[in-house]
Amino acid sequence: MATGVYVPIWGLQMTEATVTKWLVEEGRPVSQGQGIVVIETYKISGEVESPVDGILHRQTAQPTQVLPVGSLLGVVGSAEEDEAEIERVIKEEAMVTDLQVTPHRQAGEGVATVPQPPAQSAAVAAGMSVSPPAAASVLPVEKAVRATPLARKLAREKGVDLRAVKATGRGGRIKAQDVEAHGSDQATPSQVGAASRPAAAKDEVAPLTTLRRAIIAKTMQTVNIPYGALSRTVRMDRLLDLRSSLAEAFERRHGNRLTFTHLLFKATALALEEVPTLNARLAGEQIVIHGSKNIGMVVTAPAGGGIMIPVIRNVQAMDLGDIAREWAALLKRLRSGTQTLDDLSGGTFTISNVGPLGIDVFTPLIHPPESAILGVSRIVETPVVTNGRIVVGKTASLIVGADHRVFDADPIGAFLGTLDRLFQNPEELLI
Amino acid sequence: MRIIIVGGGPGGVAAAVRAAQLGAQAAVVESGNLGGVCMNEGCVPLRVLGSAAEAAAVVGSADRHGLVSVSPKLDWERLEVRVRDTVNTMRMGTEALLRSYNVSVIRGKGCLTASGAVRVGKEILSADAVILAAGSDWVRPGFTGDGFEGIITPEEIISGSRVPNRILVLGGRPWAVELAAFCARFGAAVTVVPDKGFLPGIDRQVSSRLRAALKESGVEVLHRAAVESVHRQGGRLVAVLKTKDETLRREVDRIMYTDRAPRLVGLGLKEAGVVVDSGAVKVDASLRTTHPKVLAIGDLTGEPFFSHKASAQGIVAAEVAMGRKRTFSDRAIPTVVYTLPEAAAVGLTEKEAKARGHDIVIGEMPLEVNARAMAELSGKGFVKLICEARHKAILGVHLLGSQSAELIHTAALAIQLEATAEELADLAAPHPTYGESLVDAARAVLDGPIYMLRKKG
Repeated sequence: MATGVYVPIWGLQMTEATVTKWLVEEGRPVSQGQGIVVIETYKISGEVESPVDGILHRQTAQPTQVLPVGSLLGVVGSAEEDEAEIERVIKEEAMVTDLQVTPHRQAGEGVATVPQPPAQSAAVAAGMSVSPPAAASVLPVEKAVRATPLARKLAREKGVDLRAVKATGRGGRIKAQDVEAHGSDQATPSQVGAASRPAAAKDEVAPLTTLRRAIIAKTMQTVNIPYGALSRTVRMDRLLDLRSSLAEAFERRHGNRLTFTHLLFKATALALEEVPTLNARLAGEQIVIHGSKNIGMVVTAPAGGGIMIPVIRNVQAMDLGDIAREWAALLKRLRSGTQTLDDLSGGTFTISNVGPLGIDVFTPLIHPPESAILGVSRIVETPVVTNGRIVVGKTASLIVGADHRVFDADPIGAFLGTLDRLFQNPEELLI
Repeated sequence: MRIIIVGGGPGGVAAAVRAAQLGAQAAVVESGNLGGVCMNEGCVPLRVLGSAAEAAAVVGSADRHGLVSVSPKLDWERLEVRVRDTVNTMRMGTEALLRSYNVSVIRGKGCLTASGAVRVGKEILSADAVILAAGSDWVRPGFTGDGFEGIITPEEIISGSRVPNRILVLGGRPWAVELAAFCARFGAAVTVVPDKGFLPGIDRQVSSRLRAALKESGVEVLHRAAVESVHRQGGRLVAVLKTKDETLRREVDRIMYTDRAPRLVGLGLKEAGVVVDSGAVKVDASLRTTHPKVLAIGDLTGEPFFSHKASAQGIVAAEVAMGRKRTFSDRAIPTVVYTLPEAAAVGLTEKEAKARGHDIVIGEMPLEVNARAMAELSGKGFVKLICEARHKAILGVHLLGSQSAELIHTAALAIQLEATAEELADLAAPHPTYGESLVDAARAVLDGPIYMLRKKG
């Protein structure tokens, strides 16, 4: 019996994957559990294993193709597999695709559950060792893109995602001119008087990476959020002093250097305990205030070309030593590319520290479905007035970017006030 | 919704039916016969005459087909009856069509008022939208001279006076060339003076091959010539023609002028504030004029003066008037010329494509190797496919040969759907048909045609 190999689900938020490369050629033998094709989501990359022993008869997906979870990647069968049987598995995939375009909406969730075809659950389960919740997969609503042959060629060449192109053709068909018009805000230099002007420099065109695509999707989700940013300048001297004085003892005990990042995690979790309103999510007709302080921190993606937000869960229950250990482990997995989807999801609040970039003022974007983010600017030495005297102090701006639908200025003021107090009395971070 | 369509030609009729289909109460204002110039004095009668000429050609070459040869002779009276019968049948069909959609036909000349209503005689008809489809008129040439008797429009040939012995045809649009070919087929000595270009929109390779074919059948085409003056001499007209480097004289019985221009007069355009630009009603991509309630279609909006452009626009205009978002693209409007051999074209010519800065590749297939052309002894002609070099998008298709006017549909559809040579090359063209050459021309653009000898080297 021929068996399909499908795009597995590596975590609740995974909706699609990009095929990276095939590890086994068509017609070659494979054994159960052998990695046969590499796929990547914007968070992780990994091998999909063969569900059975046999021959890889077909590679139905090609590198660079983006496929929804549950899509057919290839077909494995016995050495004397019947061609009709292989076709049957491929046809079944067509059925799955049909199901995906007529999803059943869940109340307020904007997601759809898709019935699993008979052969698929097993394949998903065997697909990858990372805890796949095979029963209730979550998929985005996605329609087949209608485009003319020329539009498809142009899009492929320019690396334009057809799903993002506005169609002007009959019946929503994307035409070549639509692809040309997509992102054409870079005006071409005027031909008039071209001779007297310096020659235009050549544009560099790069196709969207999976990561960039994910960042686009995520940031676009913030477009409809009524957003406000509120800031407070705080003294950092005592916090930095504490770090210096603890440095040696901390490293000896925990094996990790105590960093500003660790202190930020701890202080934020404590402030969220005092002002839980900011640790919230708008869910349809209700506001969910999370008990757990699952805090994400924006970092540069190890491979470059974007950012990632690894999340430490339940920071409220951790001391600085736990935080340092957890954070180091997270970063290690990220650098070696062995992170799980859970490492990058499930956050309830995010911190973005742009101090190392030398930035004084910015408006941090919320990371949906969270409703607030703490931005931290660079620390500068500056004259400050204390007890009627001007002294040199170290200050930074703390900025809260917030979703005004969920709360107003009061809790943000309270939250920033708490952080200020903690920074002035950093010993509180130790109890 | 009440929509009034001014003009009952092919554009107006299509607009009326489409508007009615979408639930409008539609009315057509027409002072002459329904069907317009196309059905009464243009395309339809011309096709009847042309088909007689083609039948004559087939019968005339009967011996080549293995038949006993006869020599066909034109019987004007019988041909005239056939023209009249065909036109009458189609006109009755059009009346029945409009009746079936409850489209009322108002007899008279329609004229816009300032408020965007339509005045017919003393009556003022109010409407939610007005579609102007008044068509075009023959344009009398401006040359000097005294001999104006004997200067005719195509209607006088079509309505069956008879084929003159010698005729000078002014103009190089398809209908002019078709009439010239028809007259020559039945014995006339014909001179064509295409003062505004010979078959514009058709690739030079096709038009020059067609000119050579016409010459063999007795049609002289004077390139880059203009009529300077016309004099009467005895019972004849003498035309003085100026070419690039010489002055020529042609003695003829008739001079036929064939140019057309939008019928702008008497429509109340100025009163209603409808802007006219370069001699045609100015419209946007949705065929709206500068008056918010008024749309315009067909010849009124300028060249090309084709019935199929008018009816395609009529449908779009009706949908726009009924609130749909539609635009009209003129990218895939074919030109067809019913001569022997037939010519047809859609999209850009080679020259136009280059002028627009396209890097192009050309696929060409001669009909000499086409199975149907060989079997039917219609061997002259070729297919020329012009593609943009990078993506092989189809920019233009130019055809010469039997059934070209039918085959151009495939090409127009391919351009309209933005197909590239690859999709065309994949087509399983039925055998034996002329279309096989079009498909093989697409392969010629890609890796090489299947049915041509391999090039050495």
